[in-house]
Amino acid sequence: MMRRRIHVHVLGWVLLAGWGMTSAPVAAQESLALRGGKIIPMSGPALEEGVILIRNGKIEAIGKDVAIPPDVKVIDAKGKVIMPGFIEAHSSRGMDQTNETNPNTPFLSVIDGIDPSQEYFDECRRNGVTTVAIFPGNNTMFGGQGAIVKTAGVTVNDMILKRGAGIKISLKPTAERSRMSHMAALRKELDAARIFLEEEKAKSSPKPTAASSDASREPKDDDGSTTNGFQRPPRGQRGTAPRPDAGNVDAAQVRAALASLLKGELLAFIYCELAMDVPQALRLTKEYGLKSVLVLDRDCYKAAKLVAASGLPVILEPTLVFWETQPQTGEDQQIILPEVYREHKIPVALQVTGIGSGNLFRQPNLPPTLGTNFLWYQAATLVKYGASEEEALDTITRRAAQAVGADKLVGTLEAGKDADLIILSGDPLKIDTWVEKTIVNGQVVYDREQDRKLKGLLQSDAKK
Amino acid sequence: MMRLPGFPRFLLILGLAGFLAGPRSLLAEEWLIRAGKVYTLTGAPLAPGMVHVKNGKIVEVAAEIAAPEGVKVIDLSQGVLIPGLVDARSQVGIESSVNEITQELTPNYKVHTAINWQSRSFREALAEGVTTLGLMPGTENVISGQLAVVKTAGPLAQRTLVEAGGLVITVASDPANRNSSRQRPDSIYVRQPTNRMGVVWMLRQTFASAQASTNGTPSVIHEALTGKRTIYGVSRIDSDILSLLRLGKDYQFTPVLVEGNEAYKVKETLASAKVPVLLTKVTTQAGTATEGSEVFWNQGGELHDAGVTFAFTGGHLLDQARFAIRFGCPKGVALEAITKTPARLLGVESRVGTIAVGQDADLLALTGDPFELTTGVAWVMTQGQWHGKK
Repeated sequence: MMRRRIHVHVLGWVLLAGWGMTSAPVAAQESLALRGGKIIPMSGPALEEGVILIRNGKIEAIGKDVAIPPDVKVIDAKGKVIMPGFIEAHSSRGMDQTNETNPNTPFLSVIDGIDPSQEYFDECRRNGVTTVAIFPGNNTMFGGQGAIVKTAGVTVNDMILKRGAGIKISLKPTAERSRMSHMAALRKELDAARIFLEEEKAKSSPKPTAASSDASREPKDDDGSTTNGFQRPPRGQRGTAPRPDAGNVDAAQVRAALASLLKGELLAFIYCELAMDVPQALRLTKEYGLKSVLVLDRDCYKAAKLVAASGLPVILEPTLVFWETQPQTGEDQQIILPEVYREHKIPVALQVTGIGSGNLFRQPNLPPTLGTNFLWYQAATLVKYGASEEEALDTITRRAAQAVGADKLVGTLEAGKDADLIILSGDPLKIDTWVEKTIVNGQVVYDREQDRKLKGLLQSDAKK
Repeated sequence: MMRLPGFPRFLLILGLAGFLAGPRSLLAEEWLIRAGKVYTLTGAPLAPGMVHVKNGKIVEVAAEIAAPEGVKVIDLSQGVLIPGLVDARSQVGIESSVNEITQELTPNYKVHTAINWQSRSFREALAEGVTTLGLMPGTENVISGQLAVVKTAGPLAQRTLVEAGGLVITVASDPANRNSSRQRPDSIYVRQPTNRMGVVWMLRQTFASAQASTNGTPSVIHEALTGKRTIYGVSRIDSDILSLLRLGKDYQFTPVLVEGNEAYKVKETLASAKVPVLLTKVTTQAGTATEGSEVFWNQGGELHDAGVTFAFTGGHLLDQARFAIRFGCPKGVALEAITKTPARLLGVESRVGTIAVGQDADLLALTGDPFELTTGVAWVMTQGQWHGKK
């Protein structure tokens, strides 16, 4: 059945696009000062009636007695709450397409697929999210390189904070592959990159140390079995996935990208679908010396002990509470992930679901979502299940920045950091608190008073 | 895991022992619950307040009650007590399909006969604080059958409040477009109607022949048209809602509108026809929903301002009420919309929906302010039976 009144949305789209352009940061940087209100810097205690001075997109000074130069535009935040913009530690949205058909594309960059005009970024600004780590989806092997971007800009170049943030590695087999062959294929590529790296090293330095080449040429599992003798089965054989674009992929490109991963220049964002994938992720991390970030699906709570012992950063899937039935006993159990991970003292970062995943034309009938498309709702859920409010806010600011390796620039309000902050109408996580202004790189990129879309959702006479 | 201020563990074991001993001893449980605040829904909240439960019923509600001898006392400290939630439009626990694909009109079908009482979804609803459910059949039939009102927990013999209640009809495109018989072109069940006109015509024909019938046997349709059964009409877009109201006017019945995604567009008409709404789930997404209906976040606030009675339905009731408040609905109205109002719209207000003497002891204990997203469920009680985490 056709959607009714599609023209309304077309119009809305146009308005949105226009709005996005006027609000995007422009090259000319100006100075800005926020005065009054409660400042929650996330790097120390809250500051009542403070001042934040912003120059050239950075926080120049923050404190109680910061003098405001006369030429600076002042935003009065009396009675409001100011805190760092939220950070989504992992998202596969904002791109034209989530997954590549070819599962072996570690050289691709999400930068080439990010569409700044997508609804997702609009939703981010509206909900106080100023930074997102965008990564290819999880239906892949080496999915490509993620980037850390700000949520405002006309072109993607305006948004980039960090271009090569890491490579998405998924341990969930693609297509009809088994986990065995997926893992073998994955290791084969990493081994090839390791050999490539050794050869490069040998070329550049005439006297390579014997130890390093030895260790890397014969990688062994913990149990001593050799893992690099894998032969890819012939194409079309049962159990192997067809690889539509394989012919176009340059093996050298793959090797070079994976070499950066092995050198530690890129983080490894390893997606684990099941708890059984977690030990594999830890083994890969150890054997190839990866700097890993674990992107864990719901089932992985069963491996919480291993995760805790690894000390690696953890990003949880959006579903934080769900039910399971024990197949043996038929017993039902409600699994509350925030409680499980806290019991194991694992600090987590979060990601969200929601409308931003596609555009309205492609996905007109969205399943109803209640709150889980907002990062602040997820933080409130942490509090509901026992976290302190401070810890919950830390999760979606400072800790998220640390997890994705962007904490030098964002995540807290400190002199020298990017001026990414939000002005809230009241205390964070309260039901009637709204984001009033979102500031990215010192520019106001969202103003609730100008938000016609929100007005239309809350007042029916504003729709016309 | 369990957050239960001041509630000794041995009581839990007692509760379990009671469960094993069977329903009789269960309902004999006597409790005295003290809470930082009690929303009775019959007047101003008590802060603090106490509720005395005996034989599965509420026997006393007051700011202070002296503990009778031998009664078990639960002290919620700063926790808050509200009535067990009522989800008036749900398909929890209905086994297999909720739609009949061989016929358009199945007024004699009863949802009650399709309930799997062991279904996990009942426990999921209970964990969210829901104690009473209005179970309705699906939307792919023009007249799909009779609803049931049941408890989410308790001894089987006491879980049914209404076995065969109101009649559910659909005034939408579902019977024309979404019925399962159309998924297969070779189906022997391919049936009428194929468009909205056909849906409405079929309803008119059915109502008219029931009214004209003189053979004396009271049909379900006849009962519905003479006010003995409520008619619950599923409509989403504004024009369908108006079709439903026209049917009501022509055949002299006041329906309860179900889903009503675009009720806000015809709120004045709904108010003047005194038609209440069992609203579709509150969402935090924008865009369009089922049948291309336009999503609007503040239905609660605007329907209330227009004088339309409504309830929230479809799971996550606490969060639905909270978001409705965020979007503009007054707090008290939102709380009523998940307790007292749905109980009334299901016709079971004499048993559930408020904390008052004589009501079933269906209670929801919360860790704090009911209206904040950071507040969790401490425990739930159905007819004096305590349900918490072990």
